[in-house]
Amino acid sequence: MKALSKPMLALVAITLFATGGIAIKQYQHRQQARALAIPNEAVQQLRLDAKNGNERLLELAKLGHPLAARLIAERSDDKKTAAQWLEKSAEAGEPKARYLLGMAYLKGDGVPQDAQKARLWFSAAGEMGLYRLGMLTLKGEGGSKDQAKGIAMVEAAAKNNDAAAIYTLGNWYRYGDYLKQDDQLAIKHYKKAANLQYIPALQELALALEMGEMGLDINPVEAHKLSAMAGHISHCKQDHSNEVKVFD
Amino acid sequence: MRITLLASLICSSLVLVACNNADTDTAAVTPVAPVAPPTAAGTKLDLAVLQTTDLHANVLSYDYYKTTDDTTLGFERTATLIDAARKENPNNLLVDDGDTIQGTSLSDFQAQIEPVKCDSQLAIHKVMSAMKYDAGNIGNHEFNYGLKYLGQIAGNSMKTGPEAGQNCKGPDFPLVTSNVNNTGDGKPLFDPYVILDRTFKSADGKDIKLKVGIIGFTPPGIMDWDKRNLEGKVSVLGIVDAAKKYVPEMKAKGADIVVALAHSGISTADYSSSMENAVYYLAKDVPAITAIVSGHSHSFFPDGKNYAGIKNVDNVKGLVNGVPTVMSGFWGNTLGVLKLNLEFDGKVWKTNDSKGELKSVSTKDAAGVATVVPAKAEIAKLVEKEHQGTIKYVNAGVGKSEYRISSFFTQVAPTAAMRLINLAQTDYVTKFVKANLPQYASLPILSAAAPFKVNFRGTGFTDIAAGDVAIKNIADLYLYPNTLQAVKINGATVKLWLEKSAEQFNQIDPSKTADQNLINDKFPSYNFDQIDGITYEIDVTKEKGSRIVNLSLNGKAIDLKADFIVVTNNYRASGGGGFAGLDGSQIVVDSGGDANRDIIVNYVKEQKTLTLAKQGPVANWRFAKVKTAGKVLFESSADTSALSVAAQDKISNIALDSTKADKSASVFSIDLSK
Repeated sequence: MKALSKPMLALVAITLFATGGIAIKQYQHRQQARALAIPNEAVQQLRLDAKNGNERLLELAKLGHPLAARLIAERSDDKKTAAQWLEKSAEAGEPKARYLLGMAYLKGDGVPQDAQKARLWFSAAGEMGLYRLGMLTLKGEGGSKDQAKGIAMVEAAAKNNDAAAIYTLGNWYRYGDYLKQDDQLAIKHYKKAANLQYIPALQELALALEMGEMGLDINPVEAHKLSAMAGHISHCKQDHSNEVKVFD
Repeated sequence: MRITLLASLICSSLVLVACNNADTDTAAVTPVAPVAPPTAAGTKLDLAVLQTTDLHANVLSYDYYKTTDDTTLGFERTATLIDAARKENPNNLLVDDGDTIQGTSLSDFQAQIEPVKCDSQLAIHKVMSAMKYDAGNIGNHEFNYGLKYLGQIAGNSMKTGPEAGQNCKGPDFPLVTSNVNNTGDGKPLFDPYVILDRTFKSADGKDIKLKVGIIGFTPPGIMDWDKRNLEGKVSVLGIVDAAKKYVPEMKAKGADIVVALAHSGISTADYSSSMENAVYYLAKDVPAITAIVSGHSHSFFPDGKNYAGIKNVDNVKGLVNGVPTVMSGFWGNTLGVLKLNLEFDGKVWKTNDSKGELKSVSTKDAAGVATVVPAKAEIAKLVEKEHQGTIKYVNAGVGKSEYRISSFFTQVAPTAAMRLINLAQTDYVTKFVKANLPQYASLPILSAAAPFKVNFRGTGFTDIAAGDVAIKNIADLYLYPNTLQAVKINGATVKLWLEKSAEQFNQIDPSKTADQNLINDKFPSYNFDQIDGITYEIDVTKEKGSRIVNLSLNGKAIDLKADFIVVTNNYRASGGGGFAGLDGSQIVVDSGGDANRDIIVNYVKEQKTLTLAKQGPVANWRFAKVKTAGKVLFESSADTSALSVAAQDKISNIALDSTKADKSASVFSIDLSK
């Protein structure tokens, strides 16, 4: 049998390589499509499986499942690794990952600190990122400064029941920062944030009731109760952000 | 007919199996008549499900940090409510919804300091057993002290896994949860449910035997929250998923009614198997649940306030998607009473009507006058030894101090008291950064502390004598249950921080010959942060906002653009006090719940003995020198030895001016030119 010429051999090799490559790519695409088709609920279920859950989550995250990538990020003890997974998940459109990535850029957690990028991701995160975006706009960090716009954003976030935004408005009313000083409105906002179990708001009201600040009557029993609640929530890892109407 | 007979035969044999497996308490069952007459269709029965949840080891109405009574909480008072509710509702069940064994110094004492012995019941289980609980649920905090401990104190309730079978003394009632499996053989860690045989009186006075199914649910979040204790050891099912698996099984085994103990709150967010507060879906998607006992959220249902405006939730009557539901607060502050009016339709028991009620241990009338439910005396007697042991533990020295630690002069000079807080905080974060945040290794670590106890309206000072330093003393120095956090900020923000703190002082006019008060008593002392690790002067002759001068690090003016780590607490780091540049987004070290005061306790333990040479005050801040024409005064303790504390803390510019006639305070003068 006549040996194939060198160019022919090369051609065969290239063809084999190319078709092989295409097949691998097709396989990868199928894998990826299959991973992406897995509903979020099934992905959440994997968090609860101590045996194989983590492995499977990682597999799905690698295949680009946005929720799986975010969950892996949240489980990661290493901030750099966490940020890499957040980036993946955020790029794929996961809103909470976008918010968390914004926070990572704002603080420089696992990524170089970059307020500009933080702004971008907060605006991509929609409602969840509104408060932080407002604060950056207000202070002119990571972009142009627009105080009025920033305040409006924080107020809008507060309307969406963002506890940190509500608490911040309380502080602004109390100290007359950005808004006209008004103790009554400060108390109203602190109470609203406290009902969302926001720790600093509970602490603020506890201290105010202990010392009789903002025109409140001194009430050591109530103060102690609120302080103890704040203490419990700060120690506790569970989500204490649901509304509990401590105040009417 | 044959089919019915066969079915009932299968059912009864299954019931026997369930009863053998489940550690059911049948002691309350009245002697069985030889042949019980069948229950007639139309028979009515009033049954009250009495509920506690999130007791968090609050056995007594007591605050172990302050070593004083706290009558707003505590099982000794809930027990009184239980007695009253039982009188009012002769047909009753008493259940607990979990988060029972952890949460006070008493629980730490029994788990870690003087571990409860295998043959003894845990204090909280002792008192609950005395109150004859029918069953209890496993919450998330049950896992906080580890699986081995849970296996011990749960007694025979823990069924599978390597920590089961320790044969130690558990509560006298069964503990259940249906959605936690051990990874070894995949079997439930506890009985998913029990079916209790109970005899109640019908409305027409007849004895009715009822098979009461009680199933438990744990929040799936334990896999994240107690990762350290649980990783690789247990797996969790979603709450609704577990209910769909086991409730039909309970019905097949003959449960006449099913009471779900869900350590879970009420939320309408989309269901997922990891959902923490899944009661809404438990009620909506799982048929045959008679009543739900809810918890975990530390909330109240039905109280007419919480959970208002949610579709298919009646927050006055206590219905969630039509299922009677109750959630009774936390720390024993409330007893839940879920009144069910049941009727037998010839085949099954149905709920005609229901009403949820909440009974609080302390109530206020319209005028705001508080009434407190008295404690049930037997409860305190049962746990006297454990209680005294815990008090001894919080009063015992964790280390020694060669000097007196007092807050007398913490508003006017660097003191040993503030120094101790700052040293402990700096030590913690230095180690944390080294281990976890190498990228910040080159940043200076500063620490902020404020005086908390400076005789506000006669509430006294912190004053720890030389000698033993106890947990109680440290809790008095660091009064609030804050947790440690550290922020990364630049020099300019450090300066703003100090400027805000310096607002504690009135503006002093040096030319005034009349007396001037140094301290603005409207300014809360908890905002007078003193920052260690840098040096600075406060010029009180200047207006607010421009008082910090000579701000230096290692003898050089600090670079306002350079970054610093400042250790503080979660209140300040999140924006508490309205300090410019702090809004929670600067936090780079979160202790994950380690309290500042526990960090100080650990520091003292490690140091063993505090000495002035090592831990004494460092004069890192002072007032900018100024000669004043008149006296500058401030108030502090009337303690006759107060000035010896000043001498010890090397404060040389103050002198006693006068002592108030009622001895409530002394007035001191401060020479700002020194």
